[in-house]
Formats: sequence, C-alpha cells, structure tokens
Amino acid sequence: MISLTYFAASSDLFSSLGINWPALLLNGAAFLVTVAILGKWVYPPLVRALDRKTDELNEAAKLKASADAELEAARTEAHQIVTDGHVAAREILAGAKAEAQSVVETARRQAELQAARVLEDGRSQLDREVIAAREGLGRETRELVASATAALIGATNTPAVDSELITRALERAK
Amino acid sequence: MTVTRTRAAQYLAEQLGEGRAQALRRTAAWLIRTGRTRELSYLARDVAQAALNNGTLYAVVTSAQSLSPESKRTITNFLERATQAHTIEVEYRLDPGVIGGVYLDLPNAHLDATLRTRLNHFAKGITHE
Repeated sequence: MISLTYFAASSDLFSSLGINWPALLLNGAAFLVTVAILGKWVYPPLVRALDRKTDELNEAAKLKASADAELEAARTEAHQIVTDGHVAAREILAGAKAEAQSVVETARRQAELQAARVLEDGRSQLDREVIAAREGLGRETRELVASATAALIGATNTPAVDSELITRALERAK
Repeated sequence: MTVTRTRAAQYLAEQLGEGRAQALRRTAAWLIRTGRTRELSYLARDVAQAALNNGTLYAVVTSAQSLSPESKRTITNFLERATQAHTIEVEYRLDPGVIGGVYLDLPNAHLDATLRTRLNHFAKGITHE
C-alpha cells in the first residue's frame, strides 16, 4: 500500500517534472541498443587492440629487459676479456722478458766459448808457427852449416885425411 | 828356345872370366834381337849377383878423389870379409860431389860412407848412432 501510494505519488512527480514516459522508454531502448551495438561490435575490437598494444608493450619491456641483461652480460664478458687479456699480456710479457734474458745469456755464453776457442786456436796457431819457425830456422842453419862444411872439407880434404876417413868408415861397417 | 834373363845372366857371369868381350857382344846382340834392351840394367845386376854366387865380386867404388893404394887395399880386404868372394874386381870412379869418404856399390848391397850423405843427413836433422 505504501508502495502504490508512493508510485502514484512518483507518477505525479514525473509528470510534474515533465518526464515523458514513452520518450524515456524509447530513449532507454535506444540507449540499450546503442550499448548492445557498442558492446557487440565496437568495444571488443578496441579492447583487443588495447590488449594487443598492452601485450606488445609488455613484450617490448621484456625484450628491453633481456637486451639490458644481455648488454650487462656483454659488458661483464668484455670486462673479463679485457682483464684476461691484461693478464695474458703480462704473462706473455714476462715470458718474453725471461726468454729474452735466456737468449741473451745463451748468446753471452756462446760468445765467451767462441772467444775462448778463437783464443785457443790463436795460441795453437801461434805455437805451431813458432815451432815451424824454429824448425825452419834450424833447418836453414843446418843446411848452411852443411854447405859451409862441405865447402871447407872440399877445399881442405887431403888424400891422407880421406884415407883415414874411409878406413874408419869401413871399420864401423864391420 | 826362350832364354830368360836369369839364364842369360848366368851364362854371361860364367863367361866373364875368359872370352869376356865375345860374351858381352853375344849378350848385347841377344838383347837387341829380343827387344829387351830396357832390361840392360837389370841384366847387369843379375850378372853381378850370379858372379858373386860363383865367388867373383864386381863392385863399384866412388870417391871424391883418387884413392891411395892403402885405401884400395883396405877396401878390398873389407869386401873379401864382407862377401866371402875369392875374386874381386873393383871399378873406381871419381865424383867430387861426395866430398869425402867412399860409396861401395855391390850386387846385393851398398855402403854409403860419404861425407855428402852425412852432411845431407845433418842438414835434414836425421840423427845417427
């Protein structure tokens, strides 16, 4: 009872407010049709498009994060490579220095040995030349003495001396 | 019949005592006929050796100057003792190059007692006893 009374009162109220019920209903139906059309054919593509954009943005964000991670990994790897390179370079440099010292030391020892050999060869050559010179001098001296002796004996040898010489030689030959 | 050099030497050594000139001519003819004149020096050596085997020594003695009779006798005595030969024929040659002493050339040996050789040895530094 109270509701009917209230409805009657409201009807009066709508009327008093100038509301045209048919028009309201038509507008409401048009509104519902519009909402249905929008909900059926307009909003879904828009929502799907928005969802795709959202997905693309999310994918882009993921790709960006992945790229950032890869960049960071690449930076780390590059830093490691540079560090390893520095270490390897230091090791190579140290090895090269050691090898160079070894080469220098070997060359120095070989030079010392070569110098010693050259010195020894020189001494031996000098000794041989001294010996050869002595022998040559002795030979020349003996030849000179023999020549002088031959000339002297040839000039002074007498038959008596020759006879004595022959006698002694034959006695020695017995 | 083929005549060997040894057989020819034996023949010539046997004929040297008497008829030497004829034997030498026949031997020379044999050398020319057989074309063995190049073997003359060997034949002479073989003849001397064959003669020595028969008791006859042919020796060549070379000295710087003429040897005195005493020296020749000394040499002959030495050769008799050394070779046991009963007949000795010595050809004496002069060669001033030997300076002094004597060089004995025998069929199978020689004795070099010259001053030239001793001086050569001294000049070459060859030592002796």
